[in-house]
Amino acid sequence: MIEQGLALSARGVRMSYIDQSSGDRLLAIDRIDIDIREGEFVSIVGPSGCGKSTFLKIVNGLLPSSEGTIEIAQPDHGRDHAMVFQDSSLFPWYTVLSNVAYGLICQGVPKKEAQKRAQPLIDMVGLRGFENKYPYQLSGGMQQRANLARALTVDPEILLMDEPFAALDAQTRELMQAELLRIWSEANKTVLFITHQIDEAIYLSDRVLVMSARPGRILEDIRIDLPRPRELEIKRSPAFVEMADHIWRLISGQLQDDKLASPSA
Amino acid sequence: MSAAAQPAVGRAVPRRWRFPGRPSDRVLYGLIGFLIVLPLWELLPTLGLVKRVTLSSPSAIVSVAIQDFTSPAEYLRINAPLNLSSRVWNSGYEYIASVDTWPIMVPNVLHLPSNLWVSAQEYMVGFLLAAVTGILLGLALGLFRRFRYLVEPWLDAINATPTIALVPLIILVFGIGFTQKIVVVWLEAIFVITLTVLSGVGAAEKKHLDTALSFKASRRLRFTSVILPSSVPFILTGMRLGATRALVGVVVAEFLASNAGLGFYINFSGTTLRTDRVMLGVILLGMFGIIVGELIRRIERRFDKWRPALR
Repeated sequence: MIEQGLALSARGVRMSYIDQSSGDRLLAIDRIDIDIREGEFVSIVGPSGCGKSTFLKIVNGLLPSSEGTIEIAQPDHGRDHAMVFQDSSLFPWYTVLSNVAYGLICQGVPKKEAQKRAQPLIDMVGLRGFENKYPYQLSGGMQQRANLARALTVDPEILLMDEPFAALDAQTRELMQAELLRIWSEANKTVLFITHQIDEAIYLSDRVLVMSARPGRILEDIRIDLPRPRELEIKRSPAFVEMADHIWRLISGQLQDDKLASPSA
Repeated sequence: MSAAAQPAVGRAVPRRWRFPGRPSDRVLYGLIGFLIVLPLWELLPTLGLVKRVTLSSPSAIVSVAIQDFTSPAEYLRINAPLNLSSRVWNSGYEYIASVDTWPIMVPNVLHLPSNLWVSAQEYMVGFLLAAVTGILLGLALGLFRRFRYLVEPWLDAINATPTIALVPLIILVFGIGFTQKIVVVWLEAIFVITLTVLSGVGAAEKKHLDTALSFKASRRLRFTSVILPSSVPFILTGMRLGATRALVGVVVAEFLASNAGLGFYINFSGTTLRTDRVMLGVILLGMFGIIVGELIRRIERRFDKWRPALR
Protein backbone atom coordinates (compact mmCIF):
# COMPACT_ATOMS: atom_id res chain seq x y z
CA MET A 1 0.00 0.00 0.00
CA ILE A 2 1.41 3.31 -0.97
CA GLU A 3 2.24 5.88 1.64
CA GLN A 4 -0.36 8.56 2.28
CA GLY A 5 0.14 11.71 0.21
CA LEU A 6 2.27 10.05 -2.43
CA ALA A 7 1.09 9.57 -5.96
CA LEU A 8 3.90 7.31 -7.10
CA SER A 9 6.51 5.29 -5.31
CA ALA A 10 9.22 3.41 -7.15
CA ARG A 11 11.70 1.20 -5.34
CA GLY A 12 14.72 -0.54 -6.72
CA VAL A 13 13.56 -0.52 -10.31
CA ARG A 14 15.98 -2.24 -12.60
CA MET A 15 15.65 -3.13 -16.22
CA SER A 16 17.86 -5.33 -18.31
CA TYR A 17 17.46 -6.76 -21.77
CA ILE A 18 19.23 -9.03 -24.22
CA ASP A 19 21.09 -7.11 -26.90
CA GLN A 20 20.06 -8.42 -30.31
CA SER A 21 23.44 -8.36 -31.99
CA SER A 22 25.86 -9.34 -29.25
CA GLY A 23 23.60 -11.58 -27.19
CA ASP A 24 24.77 -9.94 -23.99
CA ARG A 25 22.48 -9.00 -21.20
CA LEU A 26 22.61 -5.21 -20.99
CA LEU A 27 21.38 -3.02 -18.19
CA ALA A 28 19.14 -0.19 -19.27
CA ILE A 29 18.23 1.04 -15.82
CA ASP A 30 20.52 0.40 -12.90
CA ARG A 31 18.45 1.42 -9.96
CA ILE A 32 15.72 3.97 -9.53
CA ASP A 33 14.04 5.02 -6.28
CA ILE A 34 11.56 7.83 -6.58
CA ASP A 35 8.77 9.21 -4.46
CA ILE A 36 6.40 11.68 -6.02
CA ARG A 37 3.94 13.59 -3.90
CA GLU A 38 0.41 14.25 -4.99
CA GLY A 39 0.16 17.37 -7.10
CA GLU A 40 3.89 17.57 -7.71
CA PHE A 41 5.44 18.27 -11.07
CA VAL A 42 8.56 16.15 -11.39
CA SER A 43 10.91 16.05 -14.37
CA ILE A 44 13.56 13.58 -15.29
CA VAL A 45 16.45 14.97 -17.34
CA GLY A 46 19.27 12.99 -18.74
CA PRO A 47 21.41 12.33 -21.78
CA SER A 48 19.93 10.48 -24.74
CA GLY A 49 19.53 6.78 -24.26
CA CYS A 50 19.87 6.93 -20.49
CA GLY A 51 16.70 5.00 -19.94
CA LYS A 52 14.31 7.76 -18.93
CA SER A 53 11.76 6.91 -21.60
CA THR A 54 12.17 3.26 -20.68
CA PHE A 55 11.39 4.07 -17.08
CA LEU A 56 8.25 5.88 -18.11
CA LYS A 57 7.15 2.93 -20.18
CA ILE A 58 7.67 0.69 -17.17
CA VAL A 59 5.50 2.95 -15.04
CA ASN A 60 2.93 2.95 -17.80
CA GLY A 61 2.93 -0.82 -18.01
CA LEU A 62 4.05 -1.01 -21.63
CA LEU A 63 7.30 -2.64 -20.58
CA PRO A 64 8.02 -4.98 -17.70
CA SER A 65 10.82 -4.23 -15.28
CA SER A 66 13.35 -6.88 -14.37
CA GLU A 67 13.36 -5.99 -10.72
CA GLY A 68 11.81 -3.59 -8.29
CA THR A 69 8.33 -2.31 -7.57
CA ILE A 70 6.26 0.60 -8.65
CA GLU A 71 3.25 1.64 -6.68
CA ILE A 72 0.75 4.17 -7.86
CA ALA A 73 -1.97 5.52 -5.62
CA GLN A 74 -5.34 4.08 -6.55
CA PRO A 75 -7.84 6.83 -7.16
CA ASP A 76 -11.52 6.56 -6.30
CA HIS A 77 -12.39 7.12 -9.89
CA GLY A 78 -10.59 7.38 -13.17
CA ARG A 79 -7.35 5.59 -13.95
CA ASP A 80 -4.18 5.42 -12.05
CA HIS A 81 -2.12 6.92 -14.85
CA ALA A 82 -2.29 8.21 -18.40
CA MET A 83 0.43 8.89 -20.91
CA VAL A 84 1.17 11.63 -23.36
CA PHE A 85 3.46 10.41 -26.08
CA GLN A 86 6.30 12.10 -27.86
CA ASP A 87 5.16 12.54 -31.39
CA SER A 88 1.56 13.01 -32.14
CA SER A 89 -0.05 9.70 -31.51
CA LEU A 90 -3.54 10.94 -32.20
CA PHE A 91 -5.43 8.63 -34.51
CA PRO A 92 -5.52 10.34 -37.89
CA TRP A 93 -8.84 8.69 -38.68
CA TYR A 94 -10.68 10.13 -35.67
CA THR A 95 -11.76 13.69 -35.11
CA VAL A 96 -10.29 15.62 -32.21
CA LEU A 97 -13.39 14.90 -30.16
CA SER A 98 -13.28 11.17 -30.82
CA ASN A 99 -9.59 11.13 -30.07
CA VAL A 100 -9.92 12.93 -26.78
CA ALA A 101 -12.81 10.68 -25.78
CA TYR A 102 -10.84 7.56 -26.68
CA GLY A 103 -9.47 6.91 -23.23
CA LEU A 104 -12.93 6.79 -21.77
CA ILE A 105 -14.21 4.56 -24.55
CA CYS A 106 -11.43 2.11 -23.73
CA GLN A 107 -12.85 2.00 -20.23
CA GLY A 108 -16.22 1.03 -21.59
CA VAL A 109 -17.95 4.39 -21.31
CA PRO A 110 -20.58 4.77 -24.05
CA LYS A 111 -19.58 7.01 -26.90
CA LYS A 112 -21.99 9.90 -26.29
CA GLU A 113 -21.17 10.06 -22.61
CA ALA A 114 -17.44 9.89 -23.32
CA GLN A 115 -17.66 12.74 -25.78
CA LYS A 116 -19.65 14.81 -23.33
CA ARG A 117 -16.98 14.35 -20.68
CA ALA A 118 -14.23 15.08 -23.16
CA GLN A 119 -15.63 18.47 -24.18
CA PRO A 120 -14.60 20.51 -21.09
CA LEU A 121 -11.07 19.23 -21.43
CA ILE A 122 -10.94 20.22 -25.05
CA ASP A 123 -11.91 23.70 -23.91
CA MET A 124 -9.34 23.64 -21.15
CA VAL A 125 -6.45 23.00 -23.50
CA GLY A 126 -7.63 25.77 -25.76
CA LEU A 127 -9.05 23.76 -28.63
CA ARG A 128 -12.66 24.84 -28.40
CA GLY A 129 -14.15 24.92 -31.88
CA PHE A 130 -11.78 22.32 -33.24
CA GLU A 131 -13.69 19.30 -32.03
CA ASN A 132 -14.66 18.10 -35.48
CA LYS A 133 -11.34 18.69 -37.17
CA TYR A 134 -9.02 15.90 -38.09
CA PRO A 135 -5.44 15.81 -36.77
CA TYR A 136 -3.93 16.63 -40.14
CA GLN A 137 -5.77 19.94 -39.99
CA LEU A 138 -4.07 20.91 -36.75
CA SER A 139 -0.57 22.28 -36.15
CA GLY A 140 1.93 20.32 -34.09
CA GLY A 141 1.26 22.36 -30.99
CA MET A 142 -2.47 21.87 -31.30
CA GLN A 143 -2.05 18.15 -31.80
CA GLN A 144 -0.09 17.92 -28.58
CA ARG A 145 -2.80 19.88 -26.80
CA ALA A 146 -5.31 17.32 -28.02
CA ASN A 147 -2.94 14.62 -26.85
CA LEU A 148 -2.86 16.23 -23.43
CA ALA A 149 -6.63 16.56 -23.34
CA ARG A 150 -6.96 12.88 -24.15
CA ALA A 151 -4.73 11.95 -21.24
CA LEU A 152 -6.52 14.30 -18.87
CA THR A 153 -9.97 13.03 -19.82
CA VAL A 154 -9.46 9.73 -18.03
CA ASP A 155 -8.78 11.69 -14.85
CA PRO A 156 -5.51 9.95 -14.05
CA GLU A 157 -3.80 9.95 -10.69
CA ILE A 158 -0.50 10.70 -12.37
CA LEU A 159 0.17 12.14 -15.80
CA LEU A 160 3.15 10.68 -17.63
CA MET A 161 4.67 12.81 -20.35
CA ASP A 162 7.39 11.47 -22.62
CA GLU A 163 9.15 14.43 -24.27
CA PRO A 164 5.82 15.73 -25.56
CA PHE A 165 7.29 18.87 -27.07
CA ALA A 166 10.28 17.29 -28.76
CA ALA A 167 8.75 17.43 -32.21
CA LEU A 168 7.79 21.09 -32.00
CA ASP A 169 9.81 24.06 -33.20
CA ALA A 170 11.57 26.11 -30.53
CA GLN A 171 9.04 28.94 -30.34
CA THR A 172 5.98 26.72 -30.22
CA ARG A 173 7.80 24.66 -27.65
CA GLU A 174 8.23 27.61 -25.32
CA LEU A 175 4.61 28.64 -25.72
CA MET A 176 3.45 25.11 -25.03
CA GLN A 177 5.53 24.99 -21.86
CA ALA A 178 3.72 28.06 -20.56
CA GLU A 179 0.41 26.56 -21.67
CA LEU A 180 1.18 23.32 -19.90
CA LEU A 181 1.77 25.13 -16.64
CA ARG A 182 -1.50 26.99 -17.02
CA ILE A 183 -3.39 23.75 -17.69
CA TRP A 184 -1.58 21.99 -14.89
CA SER A 185 -2.49 24.60 -12.32
CA GLU A 186 -6.11 24.31 -13.42
CA ALA A 187 -6.23 20.52 -13.57
CA ASN A 188 -4.14 20.03 -10.46
CA LYS A 189 -2.55 16.74 -11.43
CA THR A 190 0.62 14.94 -10.49
CA VAL A 191 3.01 14.95 -13.44
CA LEU A 192 6.07 12.91 -14.32
CA PHE A 193 7.75 14.66 -17.24
CA ILE A 194 10.62 13.33 -19.31
CA THR A 195 12.81 15.65 -21.30
CA HIS A 196 16.35 16.14 -22.41
CA GLN A 197 16.06 19.92 -22.37
CA ILE A 198 17.34 21.27 -19.10
CA ASP A 199 15.61 24.63 -19.21
CA GLU A 200 12.31 22.95 -19.93
CA ALA A 201 12.71 20.70 -16.92
CA ILE A 202 13.60 23.51 -14.53
CA TYR A 203 10.91 25.85 -15.83
CA LEU A 204 8.11 23.36 -15.44
CA SER A 205 8.96 21.38 -12.33
CA ASP A 206 8.91 21.36 -8.58
CA ARG A 207 11.70 18.80 -8.63
CA VAL A 208 14.20 17.76 -11.25
CA LEU A 209 15.77 14.33 -11.18
CA VAL A 210 19.02 14.15 -13.07
CA MET A 211 19.67 10.77 -14.57
CA SER A 212 23.00 9.28 -15.46
CA ALA A 213 23.92 7.82 -18.80
CA ARG A 214 23.12 4.19 -19.41
CA PRO A 215 22.70 2.21 -17.23
CA GLY A 216 20.51 4.89 -15.76
CA ARG A 217 20.32 5.85 -12.14
CA ILE A 218 19.37 9.05 -10.36
CA LEU A 219 22.38 11.23 -9.85
CA GLU A 220 20.69 14.05 -8.01
CA ASP A 221 17.24 15.12 -6.90
CA ILE A 222 17.05 18.90 -7.17
CA ARG A 223 14.29 20.92 -5.59
CA ILE A 224 13.28 23.91 -7.74
CA ASP A 225 12.35 26.71 -5.38
CA LEU A 226 11.30 29.24 -7.96
CA PRO A 227 7.97 30.86 -7.16
CA ARG A 228 4.80 30.05 -9.05
CA PRO A 229 3.12 31.10 -11.28
CA ARG A 230 6.19 31.20 -13.52
CA GLU A 231 6.50 33.40 -16.58
CA LEU A 232 8.80 32.43 -19.43
CA GLU A 233 11.07 35.36 -18.51
CA ILE A 234 12.12 33.47 -15.43
CA LYS A 235 14.44 31.47 -17.65
CA ARG A 236 16.78 34.45 -17.71
CA SER A 237 16.90 34.97 -13.96
CA PRO A 238 20.22 34.32 -12.21
CA ALA A 239 18.82 31.60 -9.98
CA PHE A 240 17.48 29.78 -13.01
CA VAL A 241 20.70 30.09 -14.95
CA GLU A 242 22.67 28.83 -11.99
CA MET A 243 20.54 25.74 -11.66
CA ALA A 244 20.69 25.09 -15.37
CA ASP A 245 24.43 25.40 -15.25
CA HIS A 246 24.69 22.97 -12.39
CA ILE A 247 22.57 20.37 -14.13
CA TRP A 248 24.42 20.85 -17.36
CA ARG A 249 27.70 20.16 -15.64
CA LEU A 250 26.28 17.01 -14.15
CA ILE A 251 25.08 15.79 -17.49
CA SER A 252 28.09 16.80 -19.55
CA GLY A 253 30.23 15.06 -16.98
CA GLN A 254 28.14 12.03 -17.76
CA LEU A 255 28.67 12.47 -21.47
CA GLN A 256 32.43 12.62 -20.97
CA ASP A 257 32.42 9.49 -18.86
CA ASP A 258 30.26 7.75 -21.37
CA LYS A 259 32.73 8.52 -24.14
CA LEU A 260 35.69 7.28 -22.12
CA ALA A 261 34.05 4.20 -20.71
CA SER A 262 32.19 2.47 -23.52
CA PRO A 263 34.42 1.30 -26.35
CA SER A 264 31.80 1.34 -29.08
CA ALA A 265 30.55 4.90 -28.42
CA MET B 1 -5.54 44.42 -54.38
CA SER B 2 -6.71 47.56 -56.11
CA ALA B 3 -5.18 48.77 -59.33
CA ALA B 4 -3.97 51.87 -57.57
CA ALA B 5 -1.94 49.87 -55.09
CA GLN B 6 -0.06 47.95 -57.71
CA PRO B 7 2.50 49.75 -59.84
CA ALA B 8 1.89 49.39 -63.53
CA VAL B 9 4.45 47.04 -64.92
CA GLY B 10 4.60 46.17 -68.56
CA ARG B 11 4.51 42.51 -69.38
CA ALA B 12 8.02 41.27 -69.99
CA VAL B 13 6.84 38.05 -71.57
CA PRO B 14 3.86 38.14 -73.89
CA ARG B 15 1.06 35.92 -72.76
CA ARG B 16 0.25 32.98 -74.96
CA TRP B 17 -2.82 33.58 -77.00
CA ARG B 18 -5.85 32.04 -75.34
CA PHE B 19 -9.29 31.87 -76.76
CA PRO B 20 -12.11 31.83 -74.26
CA GLY B 21 -13.05 28.49 -72.72
CA ARG B 22 -9.76 26.87 -73.73
CA PRO B 23 -9.39 23.40 -72.27
CA SER B 24 -6.30 22.46 -70.32
CA ASP B 25 -3.16 21.35 -72.09
CA ARG B 26 -3.76 17.80 -71.05
CA VAL B 27 -7.13 17.56 -72.73
CA LEU B 28 -5.86 19.42 -75.77
CA TYR B 29 -2.92 17.17 -76.41
CA GLY B 30 -5.03 14.12 -75.71
CA LEU B 31 -7.44 15.21 -78.38
CA ILE B 32 -4.63 15.97 -80.79
CA GLY B 33 -3.29 12.47 -80.31
CA PHE B 34 -6.73 11.13 -81.09
CA LEU B 35 -7.02 13.23 -84.19
CA ILE B 36 -3.72 11.95 -85.48
CA VAL B 37 -4.28 8.28 -84.80
CA LEU B 38 -7.81 7.89 -86.06
CA PRO B 39 -7.32 9.10 -89.64
CA LEU B 40 -4.04 7.19 -89.90
CA TRP B 41 -5.77 4.06 -88.74
CA GLU B 42 -8.52 4.61 -91.27
CA LEU B 43 -6.15 5.22 -94.11
CA LEU B 44 -3.54 2.55 -93.45
CA PRO B 45 -5.38 -0.25 -95.24
CA THR B 46 -6.42 2.06 -98.05
CA LEU B 47 -2.81 2.97 -98.66
CA GLY B 48 -2.01 -0.70 -98.82
CA LEU B 49 0.37 -0.59 -95.86
CA VAL B 50 -1.66 -2.97 -93.77
CA LYS B 51 -4.16 -5.59 -94.73
CA ARG B 52 -7.68 -4.56 -93.86
CA VAL B 53 -8.21 -7.72 -91.91
CA THR B 54 -5.28 -7.08 -89.56
CA LEU B 55 -6.28 -3.88 -87.84
CA SER B 56 -9.70 -3.06 -89.21
CA SER B 57 -10.57 0.61 -89.32
CA PRO B 58 -12.51 3.06 -87.17
CA SER B 59 -15.35 3.32 -89.66
CA ALA B 60 -15.79 -0.45 -89.81
CA ILE B 61 -15.71 -0.67 -86.04
CA VAL B 62 -18.34 1.99 -85.64
CA SER B 63 -20.64 0.42 -88.20
CA VAL B 64 -20.40 -3.07 -86.70
CA ALA B 65 -20.97 -1.54 -83.29
CA ILE B 66 -24.21 -0.04 -84.47
CA GLN B 67 -25.15 -3.32 -86.05
CA ASP B 68 -24.44 -5.48 -83.03
CA PHE B 69 -26.01 -3.13 -80.55
CA THR B 70 -29.25 -2.71 -82.41
CA SER B 71 -29.76 -6.15 -83.89
CA PRO B 72 -32.38 -8.27 -82.17
CA ALA B 73 -31.43 -10.71 -79.47
CA GLU B 74 -33.06 -13.56 -81.27
CA TYR B 75 -34.21 -13.94 -84.78
CA LEU B 76 -36.46 -16.14 -86.69
CA ARG B 77 -34.89 -18.75 -88.90
CA ILE B 78 -37.40 -19.77 -91.47
CA ASN B 79 -35.18 -20.58 -94.38
CA ALA B 80 -32.72 -22.79 -92.66
CA PRO B 81 -30.79 -25.03 -95.05
CA LEU B 82 -31.70 -27.98 -92.94
CA ASN B 83 -35.02 -27.73 -91.23
CA LEU B 84 -34.39 -28.75 -87.71
CA SER B 85 -37.05 -28.97 -85.13
CA SER B 86 -36.17 -26.98 -82.04
CA ARG B 87 -36.70 -29.94 -79.79
CA VAL B 88 -34.04 -31.90 -81.57
CA TRP B 89 -31.67 -28.95 -81.74
CA ASN B 90 -31.73 -28.61 -78.00
CA SER B 91 -31.05 -32.27 -77.31
CA GLY B 92 -27.51 -31.77 -78.48
CA TYR B 93 -26.69 -35.36 -79.20
CA GLU B 94 -27.83 -35.81 -82.70
CA TYR B 95 -29.84 -34.00 -85.27
CA ILE B 96 -32.24 -35.39 -87.76
CA ALA B 97 -32.96 -33.71 -91.00
CA SER B 98 -36.68 -33.45 -90.99
CA VAL B 99 -39.26 -31.92 -93.23
CA ASP B 100 -40.44 -29.67 -90.43
CA THR B 101 -40.88 -26.19 -91.69
CA TRP B 102 -41.85 -24.58 -88.45
CA PRO B 103 -39.84 -21.45 -87.86
CA ILE B 104 -37.60 -21.38 -84.84
CA MET B 105 -36.06 -18.64 -82.74
CA VAL B 106 -32.34 -18.74 -82.91
CA PRO B 107 -30.34 -16.68 -80.45
CA ASN B 108 -28.15 -14.02 -81.97
CA VAL B 109 -24.77 -14.85 -80.50
CA LEU B 110 -23.34 -11.57 -81.62
CA HIS B 111 -25.93 -9.48 -79.84
CA LEU B 112 -23.74 -7.12 -77.84
CA PRO B 113 -26.07 -5.99 -75.10
CA SER B 114 -26.80 -9.56 -74.00
CA ASN B 115 -23.13 -10.54 -74.23
CA LEU B 116 -22.13 -7.51 -72.22
CA TRP B 117 -24.74 -8.33 -69.63
CA VAL B 118 -23.51 -11.90 -69.29
CA SER B 119 -19.94 -10.77 -68.79
CA ALA B 120 -21.05 -8.06 -66.41
CA GLN B 121 -22.90 -10.56 -64.26
CA GLU B 122 -19.94 -12.92 -64.14
CA TYR B 123 -17.70 -10.01 -63.25
CA MET B 124 -19.84 -8.50 -60.54
CA VAL B 125 -20.66 -11.71 -58.75
CA GLY B 126 -17.12 -13.06 -59.01
CA PHE B 127 -15.47 -9.82 -57.98
CA LEU B 128 -17.82 -9.21 -55.08
CA LEU B 129 -17.23 -12.71 -53.78
CA ALA B 130 -13.49 -12.27 -54.17
CA ALA B 131 -13.64 -8.91 -52.40
CA VAL B 132 -15.57 -10.20 -49.41
CA THR B 133 -13.64 -13.43 -49.00
CA GLY B 134 -10.35 -11.75 -49.82
CA ILE B 135 -10.77 -9.02 -47.23
CA LEU B 136 -11.91 -11.43 -44.53
CA LEU B 137 -9.11 -13.84 -45.33
CA GLY B 138 -6.52 -11.09 -45.41
CA LEU B 139 -7.63 -9.74 -42.05
CA ALA B 140 -7.73 -13.21 -40.50
CA LEU B 141 -4.26 -13.99 -41.78
CA GLY B 142 -2.97 -10.71 -40.46
CA LEU B 143 -4.47 -11.11 -37.02
CA PHE B 144 -3.86 -14.75 -36.26
CA ARG B 145 -0.25 -15.67 -36.66
CA ARG B 146 -0.63 -19.43 -36.53
CA PHE B 147 -3.48 -19.41 -38.99
CA ARG B 148 -1.17 -17.60 -41.36
CA TYR B 149 1.61 -20.14 -40.95
CA LEU B 150 -0.94 -22.82 -41.76
CA VAL B 151 -2.45 -21.28 -44.85
CA GLU B 152 0.31 -19.19 -46.41
CA PRO B 153 2.24 -21.95 -48.22
CA TRP B 154 -0.91 -23.07 -50.03
CA LEU B 155 -1.80 -19.51 -50.88
CA ASP B 156 1.62 -18.80 -52.32
CA ALA B 157 1.56 -21.99 -54.36
CA ILE B 158 -1.79 -21.36 -55.97
CA ASN B 159 -1.04 -17.70 -56.46
CA ALA B 160 2.12 -18.51 -58.34
CA THR B 161 0.22 -20.73 -60.76
CA PRO B 162 -1.32 -18.97 -63.74
CA THR B 163 -5.08 -19.31 -63.47
CA ILE B 164 -5.37 -20.45 -67.07
CA ALA B 165 -3.62 -23.65 -66.16
CA LEU B 166 -6.13 -24.28 -63.41
CA VAL B 167 -9.21 -23.81 -65.56
CA PRO B 168 -9.37 -27.40 -66.87
CA LEU B 169 -9.39 -28.55 -63.26
CA ILE B 170 -12.12 -26.11 -62.45
CA ILE B 171 -14.17 -27.35 -65.36
CA LEU B 172 -13.78 -30.91 -64.15
CA VAL B 173 -15.16 -29.94 -60.75
CA PHE B 174 -17.79 -27.38 -61.67
CA GLY B 175 -18.65 -28.27 -65.21
CA ILE B 176 -19.18 -25.55 -67.72
CA GLY B 177 -21.56 -22.80 -66.83
CA PHE B 178 -22.09 -19.71 -64.75
CA THR B 179 -20.67 -21.25 -61.58
CA GLN B 180 -17.49 -22.24 -63.32
CA LYS B 181 -17.00 -18.72 -64.65
CA ILE B 182 -17.56 -17.26 -61.19
CA VAL B 183 -14.93 -19.56 -59.76
CA VAL B 184 -12.38 -18.51 -62.36
CA VAL B 185 -13.05 -14.82 -61.78
CA TRP B 186 -12.95 -15.34 -58.03
CA LEU B 187 -9.70 -17.24 -58.20
CA GLU B 188 -8.01 -14.67 -60.37
CA ALA B 189 -8.95 -11.76 -58.12
CA ILE B 190 -8.78 -13.13 -54.61
CA PHE B 191 -5.05 -13.50 -54.20
CA VAL B 192 -4.06 -9.96 -54.90
CA ILE B 193 -6.82 -8.74 -52.57
CA THR B 194 -5.83 -11.09 -49.77
CA LEU B 195 -2.13 -10.32 -49.97
CA THR B 196 -2.70 -6.57 -50.08
CA VAL B 197 -5.03 -6.64 -47.10
CA LEU B 198 -2.58 -8.84 -45.24
CA SER B 199 0.18 -6.32 -45.66
CA GLY B 200 -2.29 -3.66 -44.57
CA VAL B 201 -2.79 -5.32 -41.22
CA GLY B 202 0.95 -5.40 -40.73
CA ALA B 203 1.20 -1.74 -41.59
CA ALA B 204 -0.64 -0.57 -38.51
CA GLU B 205 1.79 1.76 -36.83
CA LYS B 206 3.37 0.73 -33.57
CA LYS B 207 2.78 4.12 -32.01
CA HIS B 208 -0.96 3.79 -32.53
CA LEU B 209 -0.99 0.29 -31.11
CA ASP B 210 1.03 1.55 -28.15
CA THR B 211 -1.49 4.32 -27.61
CA ALA B 212 -4.33 1.83 -27.59
CA LEU B 213 -2.42 -0.43 -25.22
CA SER B 214 -1.59 2.40 -22.87
CA PHE B 215 -5.28 3.15 -22.52
CA LYS B 216 -5.87 -0.55 -21.88
CA ALA B 217 -8.02 -1.10 -24.97
CA SER B 218 -9.47 -4.57 -25.36
CA ARG B 219 -8.33 -6.75 -28.23
CA ARG B 220 -11.58 -6.08 -30.06
CA LEU B 221 -11.26 -2.32 -29.58
CA ARG B 222 -7.69 -2.42 -30.75
CA PHE B 223 -8.92 -4.04 -33.92
CA THR B 224 -11.73 -1.60 -34.61
CA SER B 225 -9.92 1.55 -33.55
CA VAL B 226 -6.41 0.94 -34.86
CA ILE B 227 -5.93 -2.04 -37.12
CA LEU B 228 -9.04 -1.71 -39.23
CA PRO B 229 -8.71 2.02 -39.98
CA SER B 230 -5.01 1.55 -40.75
CA SER B 231 -5.91 -1.19 -43.20
CA VAL B 232 -8.52 0.78 -45.13
CA PRO B 233 -6.13 2.27 -47.72
CA PHE B 234 -4.73 -1.19 -48.31
CA ILE B 235 -8.17 -2.71 -48.61
CA LEU B 236 -9.07 -0.15 -51.25
CA THR B 237 -5.84 -0.66 -53.14
CA GLY B 238 -6.44 -4.39 -53.03
CA MET B 239 -9.91 -3.86 -54.46
CA ARG B 240 -8.55 -1.73 -57.25
CA LEU B 241 -5.96 -4.38 -58.17
CA GLY B 242 -8.51 -7.12 -57.75
CA ALA B 243 -10.91 -5.35 -60.09
CA THR B 244 -8.35 -5.52 -62.87
CA ARG B 245 -7.57 -9.15 -62.22
CA ALA B 246 -11.25 -10.05 -62.10
CA LEU B 247 -11.65 -8.68 -65.61
CA VAL B 248 -8.80 -10.90 -66.74
CA GLY B 249 -10.61 -13.79 -65.11
CA VAL B 250 -13.77 -13.08 -67.07
CA VAL B 251 -11.94 -13.04 -70.37
CA VAL B 252 -9.93 -16.16 -69.54
CA ALA B 253 -13.02 -18.09 -68.55
CA GLU B 254 -14.91 -17.02 -71.64
CA PHE B 255 -12.09 -17.69 -74.05
CA LEU B 256 -11.67 -21.20 -72.84
CA ALA B 257 -15.20 -22.44 -72.37
CA SER B 258 -18.13 -20.25 -73.08
CA ASN B 259 -20.81 -19.50 -75.61
CA ALA B 260 -21.71 -16.07 -74.40
CA GLY B 261 -20.09 -12.98 -73.05
CA LEU B 262 -17.61 -10.40 -74.25
CA GLY B 263 -14.69 -12.79 -74.22
CA PHE B 264 -16.66 -15.22 -76.29
CA TYR B 265 -17.62 -12.40 -78.66
CA ILE B 266 -13.98 -11.51 -79.19
CA ASN B 267 -12.84 -15.08 -79.56
CA PHE B 268 -15.63 -16.07 -81.90
CA SER B 269 -15.13 -13.06 -84.08
CA GLY B 270 -11.43 -13.79 -84.15
CA THR B 271 -11.95 -17.26 -85.45
CA THR B 272 -14.18 -15.88 -88.20
CA LEU B 273 -11.61 -13.21 -89.03
CA ARG B 274 -14.01 -10.39 -88.22
CA THR B 275 -11.34 -8.03 -86.93
CA ASP B 276 -13.82 -5.18 -86.70
CA ARG B 277 -15.73 -7.10 -84.06
CA VAL B 278 -12.52 -8.14 -82.34
CA MET B 279 -11.39 -4.54 -82.11
CA LEU B 280 -14.79 -3.45 -80.90
CA GLY B 281 -14.79 -6.12 -78.22
CA VAL B 282 -11.32 -5.15 -77.07
CA ILE B 283 -12.25 -1.50 -76.91
CA LEU B 284 -15.39 -2.27 -74.92
CA LEU B 285 -13.36 -4.41 -72.56
CA GLY B 286 -10.89 -1.61 -72.03
CA MET B 287 -13.67 0.87 -71.40
CA PHE B 288 -15.23 -1.43 -68.87
CA GLY B 289 -11.94 -1.74 -67.02
CA ILE B 290 -11.45 2.01 -67.00
CA ILE B 291 -14.93 2.66 -65.69
CA VAL B 292 -14.58 0.17 -62.86
CA GLY B 293 -11.16 1.53 -61.96
CA GLU B 294 -12.48 5.06 -61.89
CA LEU B 295 -15.41 4.04 -59.67
CA ILE B 296 -13.08 2.53 -57.14
CA ARG B 297 -10.82 5.55 -57.28
CA ARG B 298 -13.82 7.70 -56.41
CA ILE B 299 -14.52 5.52 -53.40
CA GLU B 300 -10.89 5.75 -52.36
CA ARG B 301 -11.07 9.51 -52.42
CA ARG B 302 -13.95 9.56 -49.96
CA PHE B 303 -11.73 7.88 -47.41
CA ASP B 304 -8.99 10.40 -47.93
CA LYS B 305 -10.34 12.98 -45.55
CA TRP B 306 -7.94 11.98 -42.86
CA ARG B 307 -4.80 11.61 -44.91
CA PRO B 308 -4.49 14.00 -47.82
CA ALA B 309 -0.73 13.94 -47.41
CA LEU B 310 -0.51 10.50 -48.93
CA ARG B 311 -2.26 11.50 -52.12
